Amino acid sequence: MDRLIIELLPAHGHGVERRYVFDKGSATIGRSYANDIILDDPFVSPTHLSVSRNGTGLYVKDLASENGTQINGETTLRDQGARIASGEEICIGKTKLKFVLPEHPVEPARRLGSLVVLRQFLDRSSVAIGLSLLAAALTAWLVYVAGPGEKFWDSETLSAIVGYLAIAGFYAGIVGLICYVKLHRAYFKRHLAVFNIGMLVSFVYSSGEPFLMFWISSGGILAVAKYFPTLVFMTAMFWASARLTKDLVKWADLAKLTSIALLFILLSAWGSQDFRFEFSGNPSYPANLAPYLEPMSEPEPFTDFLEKSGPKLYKTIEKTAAR
Amino acid sequence: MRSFSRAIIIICSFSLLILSPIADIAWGLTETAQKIYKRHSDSVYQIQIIDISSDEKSVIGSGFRISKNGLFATNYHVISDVVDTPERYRIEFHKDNEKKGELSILALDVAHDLALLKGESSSDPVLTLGSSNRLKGDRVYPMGNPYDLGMTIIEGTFNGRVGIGSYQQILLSAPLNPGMSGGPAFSSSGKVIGINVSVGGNDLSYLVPVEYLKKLVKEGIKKQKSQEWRKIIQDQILERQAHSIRAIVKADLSLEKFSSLRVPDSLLPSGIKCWGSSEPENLKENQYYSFGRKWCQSEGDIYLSSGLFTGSYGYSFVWMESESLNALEFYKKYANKFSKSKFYPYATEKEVTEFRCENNFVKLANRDWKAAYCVRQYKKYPKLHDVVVSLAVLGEPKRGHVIRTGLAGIDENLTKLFLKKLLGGIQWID
Repeated sequence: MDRLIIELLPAHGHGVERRYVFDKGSATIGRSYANDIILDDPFVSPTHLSVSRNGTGLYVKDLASENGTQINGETTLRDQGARIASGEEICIGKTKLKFVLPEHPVEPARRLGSLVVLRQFLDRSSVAIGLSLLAAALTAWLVYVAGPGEKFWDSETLSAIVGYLAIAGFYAGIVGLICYVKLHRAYFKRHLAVFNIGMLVSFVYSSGEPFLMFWISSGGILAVAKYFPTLVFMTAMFWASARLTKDLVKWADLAKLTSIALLFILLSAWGSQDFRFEFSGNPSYPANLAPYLEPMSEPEPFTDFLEKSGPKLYKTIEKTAAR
Repeated sequence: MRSFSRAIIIICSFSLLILSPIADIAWGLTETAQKIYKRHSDSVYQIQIIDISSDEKSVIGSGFRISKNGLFATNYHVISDVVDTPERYRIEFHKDNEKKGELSILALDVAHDLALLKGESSSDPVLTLGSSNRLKGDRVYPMGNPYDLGMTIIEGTFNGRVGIGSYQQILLSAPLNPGMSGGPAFSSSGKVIGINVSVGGNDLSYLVPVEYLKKLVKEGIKKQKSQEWRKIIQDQILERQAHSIRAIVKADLSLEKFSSLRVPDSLLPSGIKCWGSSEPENLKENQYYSFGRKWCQSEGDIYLSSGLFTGSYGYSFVWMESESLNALEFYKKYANKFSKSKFYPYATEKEVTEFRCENNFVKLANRDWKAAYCVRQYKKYPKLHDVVVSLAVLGEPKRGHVIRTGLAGIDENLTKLFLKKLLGGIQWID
């Protein structure tokens, strides 16, 4: 049985926008209503292209169109024909098409995996709300521990909770908005869950941070060490948000996600002590202390430290002053 | 801002005689005061620093004529703006709201806050420089023009000297006021024994002993022919610092117990004063750890410019301990204390570079510490630096000790001498 499948591809991104199945071996494409596939693209000629089965492949013929027919983004046909293989991409005007034969191979089925189960779990309102409350409570507790007051419920803990929920809502809102524009669905609850899980993990990390930073004595490395995990956390959150809404997230997409995370971190670092662009007049040095930890090797006597760092310091000062 | 810099600002506002509480001049003037005023007020003038572009006075002080060939004496801090930006200011001397002439700088002594100015020769009366060698309780008669209100004379009591070696000041029980800076203080025989310089509190003021002025007249004029003021100023400050640090190094070290440490008391009782305080753990008042501290600070800063006092140095020891916090929570607070340094003067970007720091683990008193050593440089006086050193002891989960010290207007060698003396003697007892 002759059968021909024509896929209409979206202008950007992956997937198929529409699929036409013909139980005959050939079809014509153009803007005219006489065609098998009628396109609205103004750059497509009324009778633009014909395609027919040719043995194991296909034969396309440009029907003297205005803008020609492009195969795989390379060769352009004008009033001529060419043989193509099943699955190759054709572009006419601004429309992308794919011609596929019935025997075109497909990937074997994926297991209905844990990802789907996870998605279903995250889509429950109770999970999104529960996670948010848990993370907000943890934030409040951390604020309380940092400067404990007489009562747990004072304005500081309260504002910490409200602040946390606002940021969580902001994250899920922004990412949801992007998803809505691209996929016509926001997946708000999933993003909220991702954010909460990410924050819970980073809370655990932050309580261990003094231990990790204890041995670092270089201010520059310390600043990197302080912000790099944040970058990883944020990228991971964006990645998870994307992965949970859209199956196909390629490594190239990760670069985009990282750059967004980087932007957030730059914005947050802008106002902090680590990246100052104006004169402060106060000395700042790595002051990370952690209980139970010791220097890795026997430290030098204080006088040696004075003798060694003194000349180094005065030299760098001399240099900066000269600038 | 750290409490130290705040202290500096407070000292600054007091000591400059520019801003200070107006004390009612309730001293009943005696006959001697009347006589001195009658005989010598003609030699005392108001010194005005005139902002050239607006042609108005921006700073006022007092000064007095000490020679027929036009030598005037005043405080360095009265004319410091002219040294800093000579193109913006000029110096005038006034009498009874009338300009008498202009003056130029001839010699400076920043370390004693003195300046010699040069005007035109004239036959106007001059003052005789006497001696500050007095007995406690002797009468002293400072003269000057407070708040631009007119020439006044007050009466006070000589109360000895404060300061280290050849950098002393006379302690005077009398209410000096802003504007009197640079004016002469007379003995009852009418000779100048000192120069009004600063206020320390109610009826507590300081004079520069007249001997330093004599020395400046005798040696300074010749030595400072080059008029490279910045170089002269920085050398004078370093000389004064070297003088104090040498005295500190020479002095006996007396240690006292401070929690698990034995630390130095005042390194030099005549120039460094120590204070202490402590706080018990009290959950009801949100005090989640107990702590004690002891801090020692030098007296007598050097006025360098209107934005900067220098020459001070100090150190502090803090212990902290907690029962209610867990080790992680406690160490957050401990690290926070360690991260905040002290003992450096407030200074703007115009005056100093940013601090640069070196950090490492060090061994001190047989214990492991985390140490930071920070330095910044004075932009106009490249030999001068501010130094800050902080140390935090490691090894105990719910107890900590922080040592912080700092020196202003110093060089590397003097810093090393000071730090070795201060930290070299520290012992760990347990």
